[in-house]
Amino acid sequence: MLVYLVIALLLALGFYTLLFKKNLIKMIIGIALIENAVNMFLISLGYVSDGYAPIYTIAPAETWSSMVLPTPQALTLTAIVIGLASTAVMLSLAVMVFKNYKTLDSSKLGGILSE
Amino acid sequence: MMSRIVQQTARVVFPLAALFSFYVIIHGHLTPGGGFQGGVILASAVALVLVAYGHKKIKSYRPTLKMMFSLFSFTMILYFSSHFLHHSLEQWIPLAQAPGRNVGELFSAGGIPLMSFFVGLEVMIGLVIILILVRRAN
Amino acid sequence: MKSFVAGMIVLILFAFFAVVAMQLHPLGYPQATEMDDYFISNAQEETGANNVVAAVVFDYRGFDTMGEATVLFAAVTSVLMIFWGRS
Repeated sequence: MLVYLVIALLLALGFYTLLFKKNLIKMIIGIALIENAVNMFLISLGYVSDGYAPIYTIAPAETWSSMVLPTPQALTLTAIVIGLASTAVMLSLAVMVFKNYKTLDSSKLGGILSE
Repeated sequence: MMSRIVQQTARVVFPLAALFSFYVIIHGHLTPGGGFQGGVILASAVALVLVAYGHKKIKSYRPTLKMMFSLFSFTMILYFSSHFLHHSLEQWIPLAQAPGRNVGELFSAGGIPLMSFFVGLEVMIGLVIILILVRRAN
Repeated sequence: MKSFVAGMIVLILFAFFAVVAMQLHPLGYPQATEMDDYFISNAQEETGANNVVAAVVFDYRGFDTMGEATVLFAAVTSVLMIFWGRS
């Protein structure tokens, strides 16, 4: 149960960083924190007590029936790559914002109508 | 653009890192690893050389980026076709007949090493394109 | 004043997630494992791979990997489009 409490703490800190900071880069770091916490939660759902890694030639022959579940690991691999792709797009947008407006403060960047 | 020591060290380290990443990609069906992990290792090795030598050494950005993007699309088409046909082509890939128990041989598992090779190549090209673009914009 | 409100919101969020986390099943005893039992017992004969995770990612759930390759392609194309300015 300690695992779930740590993940809850990471989620709360990620939401705090996303809501209460003004710099664009810090907001992007908050989003990355939330994504990492969710990936960790997904992996921890597939743990079997006293289980071995799901590879046939590494686990001893008697424990082939109590291996760790392989499906959450496969889904987490996909989720990590998708998180990487979205963070890359967000960071390149932040670079373009800095080039055009010379500031990264989200309270000074008005809306579209304050041109 | 870093000093001479860093440049020579990156030149020595890069072939070893590339060899290790090819090992991780090809042994994807025997040890932990597979396509994506090996691709990221290869991209980080190329990023080391890019940081050590500076981005001004890349001549003529536009043809380089166009060629890399076309390679990226071609690798993705290869991966899609090998994904749809890897069950039918199992008999034609030599030495790698799939079904049956094996004790950890390299030539096994049909079309899975082929698919992970294409995925690793695709991840490497994509990440290197993103790195060159973000560095050049300043 | 502002840091007090921020601290209260962090505590409320953490309490909400912790109350939910306390009612999950204990760590190490997953429920509903019929699909994974089939994967573990039949992966070596049907695919010939020793690594069950590689067989699941490329063979049993191959369409998820195909969708993720498409997401990677879309991300690289968007970054290329954003930075394709002059020179």
